[in-house]
Amino acid sequence: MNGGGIRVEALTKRFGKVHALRGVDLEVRPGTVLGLLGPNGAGKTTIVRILSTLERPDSGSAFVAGHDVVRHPHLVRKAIAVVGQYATVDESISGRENLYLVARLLGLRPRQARARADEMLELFELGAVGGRSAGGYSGGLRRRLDLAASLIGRPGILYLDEPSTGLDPHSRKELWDLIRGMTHEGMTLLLTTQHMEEAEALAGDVVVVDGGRVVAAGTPKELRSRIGGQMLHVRLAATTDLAAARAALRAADLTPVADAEENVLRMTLTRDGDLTAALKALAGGDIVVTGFETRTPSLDEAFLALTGAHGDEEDL
Amino acid sequence: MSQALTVTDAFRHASVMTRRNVVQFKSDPGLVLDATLTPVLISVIFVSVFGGAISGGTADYAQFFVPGIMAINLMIVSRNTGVGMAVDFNSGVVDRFRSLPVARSALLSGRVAADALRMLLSLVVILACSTLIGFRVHGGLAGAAGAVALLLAFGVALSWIAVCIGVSVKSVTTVSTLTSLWVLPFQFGSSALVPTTGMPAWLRAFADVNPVTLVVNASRGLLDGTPGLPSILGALAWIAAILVVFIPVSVMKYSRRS
Repeated sequence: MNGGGIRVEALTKRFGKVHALRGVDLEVRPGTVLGLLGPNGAGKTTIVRILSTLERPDSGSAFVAGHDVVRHPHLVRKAIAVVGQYATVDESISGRENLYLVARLLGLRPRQARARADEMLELFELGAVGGRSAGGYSGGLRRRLDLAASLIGRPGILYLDEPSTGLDPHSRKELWDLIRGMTHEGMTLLLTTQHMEEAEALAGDVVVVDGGRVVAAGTPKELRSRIGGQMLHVRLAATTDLAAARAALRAADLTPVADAEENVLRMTLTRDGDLTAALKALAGGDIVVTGFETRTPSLDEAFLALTGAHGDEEDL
Repeated sequence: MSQALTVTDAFRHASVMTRRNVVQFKSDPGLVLDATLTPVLISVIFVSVFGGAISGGTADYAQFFVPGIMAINLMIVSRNTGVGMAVDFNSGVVDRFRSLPVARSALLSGRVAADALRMLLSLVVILACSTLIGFRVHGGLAGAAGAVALLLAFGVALSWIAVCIGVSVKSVTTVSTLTSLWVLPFQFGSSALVPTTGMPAWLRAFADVNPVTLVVNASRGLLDGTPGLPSILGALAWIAAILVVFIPVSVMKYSRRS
């Protein structure tokens, strides 16, 4: 099964005074998974909503499975399925009724629709709760029902908007396994997430957005190295040693930043030999080192490294 | 575009949505009680309390009042059409429907159709129970069927007004308030509860062209076996005008809202 790809060019969108998208380009090749990574308010959801035909772009173009989202929204809708950030199931009816409803809307006859609903309940291990009202489902169950409803029509292209929001680690793991299973079937996937870990676990390519712009793109591995592998923190016994230590590290081709208040020097380790070089540089003099530790940058630090700013407005 | 939706598709999608809303009634019995028990209780109370004062007897007032409460209850039932739309929008389920290859009108007309079923139930229950408080149908089966059909058409028109409010306003509470508020002057400034002849001139001018007055007078005529063409035509004109305005506006707002 090959559902076609996605191509977005120079997409812009404004909501009043807020520039949600300031010219976004991205491409998802057929049968691949693209992770759209970014903080809250970066524009991820706006991109997904435009690609879902729920929102019209102000300018730029977006093609899904070869169809223009503005000119042929109906053809786009036939090619895609969407799992929104918040569950989009009808809470007042049962899980089985939810699936039956979508199957019927997609044109299945009543008998086929019933069979397909049962099949999906089985596949997503919802058989036991299928008859219960969806309003009483836990977060994990609701996500699974959501996903089941989206996959009823066997779409070629699927959007997942922050799929693990509100899930406990166990449910998240289950969801990841389900998503991996789908990509083996050749489905094209666009996945938004705030977590580098999730993008790394699921996506072959990652596009980082912030403030409505693409700030980085590449494989998760490439991005990891660009945002700096490890950080080294060196703690000193005396403030007076700070200058000497910094000079020694600089001489070793490192770029330490001093924090006088905490008596700490911080630097990014970009090459394999950097850690050994730092050890040697500090061992040379009379400098007393009380702490020497490496850290993986947090997502916030990673965004900071890529964007120099961190958006924290509401997600658009 | 060769793969565009046909009218048949739109009907099929709407009927699937209607089924969804009817299934919802099961989990929310208040929707059915609103359509049945509420108007019956109101009828008994109004006829017993005001009957003597207004018409000099409860049976006489019942004969006047029953068509009125039928119309008024349609307005009560229509409120839920709008509230239901707002709930759908807030739950995110609308986003799923709008991203499916489904007719834009389906969710709206499906809900209106489901509520038309509630309205039909409401009209039949009121009519059946009204014999207990002294109401009599003199217009025969044809008259009763005509009155129910006219009232139902009016109910559908009211539902589309409520849908329009439901898709235009974000807050469920505000939708609930607005859908109850706009009907008040039309309910009371009409011939539903009292004859317009006793009203001050300015109010009477309003009441005489009020769609509720025309629908209620037409229904009274049909039920009493004295059908009046002017009120029937006036009622039909109002119903057509409401539908022509509110259906396209609602569908447009539903499609465009972000």
